[in-house]
Amino acid sequence: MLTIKNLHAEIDGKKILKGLNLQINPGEVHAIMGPNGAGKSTLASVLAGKEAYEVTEGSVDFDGKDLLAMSTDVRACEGLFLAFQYPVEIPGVSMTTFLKASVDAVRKYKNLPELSAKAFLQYMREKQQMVEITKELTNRAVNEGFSGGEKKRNEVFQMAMLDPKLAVLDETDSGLDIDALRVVANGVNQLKNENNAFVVITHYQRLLDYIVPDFVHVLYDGKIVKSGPKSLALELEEKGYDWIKEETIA
Amino acid sequence: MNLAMNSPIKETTKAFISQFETGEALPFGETKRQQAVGFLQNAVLPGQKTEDWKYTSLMPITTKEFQQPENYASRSLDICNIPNLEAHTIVFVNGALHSVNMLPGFDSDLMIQSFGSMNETAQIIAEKYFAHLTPPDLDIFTALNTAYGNKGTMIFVPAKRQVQKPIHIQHLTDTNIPIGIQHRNLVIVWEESSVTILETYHGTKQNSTFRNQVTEVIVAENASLSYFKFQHEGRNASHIEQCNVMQQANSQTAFFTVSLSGEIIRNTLRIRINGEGAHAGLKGGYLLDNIEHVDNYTEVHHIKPHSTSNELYKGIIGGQATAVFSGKIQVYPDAQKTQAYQSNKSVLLTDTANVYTKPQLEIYADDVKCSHGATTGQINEEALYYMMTRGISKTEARKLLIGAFLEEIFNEFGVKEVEEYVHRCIQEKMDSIH
Ligand SMILES: Nc1ncnc2c1ncn2[C@@H]1O[C@H](COP(=O)(O)OP(=O)(O)O)[C@@H](O)[C@H]1O
Ligand SMILES: [Mg+2]
Repeated sequence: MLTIKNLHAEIDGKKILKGLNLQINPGEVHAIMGPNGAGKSTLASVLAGKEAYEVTEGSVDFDGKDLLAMSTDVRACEGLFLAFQYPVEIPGVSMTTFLKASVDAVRKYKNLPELSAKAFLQYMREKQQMVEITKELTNRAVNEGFSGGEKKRNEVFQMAMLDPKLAVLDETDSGLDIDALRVVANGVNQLKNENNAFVVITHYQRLLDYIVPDFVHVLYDGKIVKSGPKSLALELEEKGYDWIKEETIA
Repeated sequence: MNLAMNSPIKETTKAFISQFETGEALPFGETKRQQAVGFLQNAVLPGQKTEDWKYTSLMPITTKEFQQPENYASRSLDICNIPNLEAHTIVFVNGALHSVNMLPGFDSDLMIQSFGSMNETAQIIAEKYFAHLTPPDLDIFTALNTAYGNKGTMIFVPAKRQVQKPIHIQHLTDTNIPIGIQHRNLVIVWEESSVTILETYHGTKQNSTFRNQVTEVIVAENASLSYFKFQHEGRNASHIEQCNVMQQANSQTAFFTVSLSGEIIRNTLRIRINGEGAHAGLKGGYLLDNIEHVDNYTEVHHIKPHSTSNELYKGIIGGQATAVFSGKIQVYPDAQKTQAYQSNKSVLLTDTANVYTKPQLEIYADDVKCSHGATTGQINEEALYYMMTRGISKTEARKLLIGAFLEEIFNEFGVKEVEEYVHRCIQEKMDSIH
C-alpha cells in the first residue's frame, strides 16, 4: 500500500529525514517510536504534503501512485489521513460545515454524488457515537476551545468520517487519560480491516496494549534503525532509547 | 483679487459641481436648499491634505464626467432580488423612483414614501426633519445633495409600532453612460417602535456611476432600529454617503455596512447618542480586490450617561485594493458610565493590498470603559493546511476561512434570508479573487 524508499527531507535547510525506508501492506498496523526530535512528526508532515518540507531524495509510492507528486488535498482524497499531534483551531468555521466540505470533497473526487444534508447528518451521528463525541462539540467551531483530549478525539472522529485507506496517528495518545485512550483505540479497532492500514506514532507502549501493532519501528535521527514485533515496544519502554543509540553508532 | 479663486482645486470643484443640476423642487426644505446652494459657491473639494480624507483620493470621481441619469426603460430588477425575502420594498432605478410595494396587512400609519410623491402629513414631517441632523453646509457632498437632489425615501414609523417585516430600499443602476445620482433617506422611528431596514445597491453593467447619498435617522426613546446597507453596485461604482443618526434615551440601534464592490466608497456613519441607557451597534465588512477602495469613517458621540456602543469592522483586502477605517469615539463630560468598544480587523491577501486604521478616542468623563484595537494579518496558513489534509481544496478552504471571518459582521442581523444572501455573494466574489 505504502512504500517509502530512501526518503530524505529538510526544513529551512535543516536535514531531518535521512534515508528512511518503510513498507506498509493492507491490514497492517505499524507503530513508530523514537526519541523527541527524531523526525516522527516530520515523516507525518512529509506524507501529508506540508509545503514547508522539502523532499530532496527518495520516493513514496501509495497504491501505485507517486504520493509526493500530489497536493495535500488530493492525498487526502486518495485515502491518506493524518491525525495531528497538535490539531489546529479554526475560529468561525463550524465542525458541521467543515466535515460536510471534507466529505463532499472526497466523494466528489471519487465521482460519488454529494450526500444530502439529511444523509450527511445521519452519517455524522453514527460516527459521533463511535468515538463518543458529544453533539455539543460538533456544534462548535473546529477545535475552538476544545480541551487537549477533545481535540485528539476529534481527530479520530474525522478519521472515522473519512474512512481512509491509510491513517497516520501522530501521538494521538499523548495527554490522554485512560478512558480517552480507550475511546481512541476503540475507534481505530472498529475501523481496522484487511484493506486499510494504520501508522501509530507514539512514545508509550501503553497505547499498544489497546491497538496491537504488527510491527514496531524505531525512528532515530531521521532513519528507521530497528524494526521488530510488538515485544520491541516493551523492550523500549524498559530500556529507553540509549541502547539503540549505542547499537546504531556501533 | 483673491488668488485662491483661480487655484486648480477651485477650478476642479467648479467643474465638478456644474455637472449636477437642480431638478424639480420639492415641497419642503427650500430654506435648507438655498443654504446649500450658497455654500457651494465657495466650497472646495477635500484633497489629500484634508485630515479626514488623507487616504482617500477623490480623483477617480472628480476626473470623470457624469451625466444626468437616463430615463429608465423597463429592465429587469432580478438582480436586486433576495430569494425568499418578504419585505416592503421601495425601488429606485438610476436614481428615479420605480415602485413602492407594501406587503398586505401593513399598518396604515407606517409611511414608506418617495420624496417626489409624499402625502401632506409626510410633507409636514419632512419639513421639520429634513436636514435637521445634517446641516446643509456640513461638507461639499452634503451641500451638493441638499442643493440638487430631489429623490429620496422617507420612512416614518409612528409610536408603539412593531414593524414585523423588513423594509427593503433597492437601488439599481442600469446605464450605458456614466451617471451621477443624488439620493436621500429620512428615517424616523418614533417612541417604543421597532423596524428593520435593508438598503441594497446593485448594478447591471460595469459603467462608472457616482452616488452621493445623505441618510438621516432619528431613533426616539425606547425605539429600536436595525439597518443593513449592502453595497454591491459594481467595481466602477463610487458611493459617498453621509449617514447621521440621533438616538434618544433607551433606544437601540444596529448598523451593518457590507461593501462588496466599488471604485471609491466612503461611508460616513455618525451616531449621536443623546439620551441615557441607549445602545448603538456598528458593524462593517468588506471584501475587496483589484483597485477597489473602501473608506469607513465613523463617529460615535456619547453625550448622556449610561450609554453603550460596540463597533466592529472587518475586511479582507486583496489585489491592490485599499481599506480605510477611522473610528472616533467621543465621550462628553456628562456621559459617565459610558461603555464604548471598537475594533478593526483586516486580512491582507496580497503584498500590494493596503489598510489604514485610525482610531480616535476623545474622553472627557472619568468613569467610563472604552477600548479600541486593530489587527492586520494574513490568511491562517496552518488552518488552510489542516483543511487540505481533510481533502478540501485550497480554493474551497480559503472560501470557508474568509466566509467565517466576515460572517461575524452580519450573522446577527436577524433576517435569515438576508444573511444567507450576503453569505452567498461573498462566496461568489471569492471565486473571482485569487
Ligand atoms: N521549522 C523548523 N525549522 C527547523 N527545524 C525544525 C522545524 N520544525 C521541526 N524542526 C526540527 O526537526 C526535528 C524533528 O522534529 P519532529 O519531526 O517534530 O520530531 P518528533 O516528532 O520525532 O519529536 C527536530 O529537531 C526539530 O527541532
Ligand atoms: Mg512529534
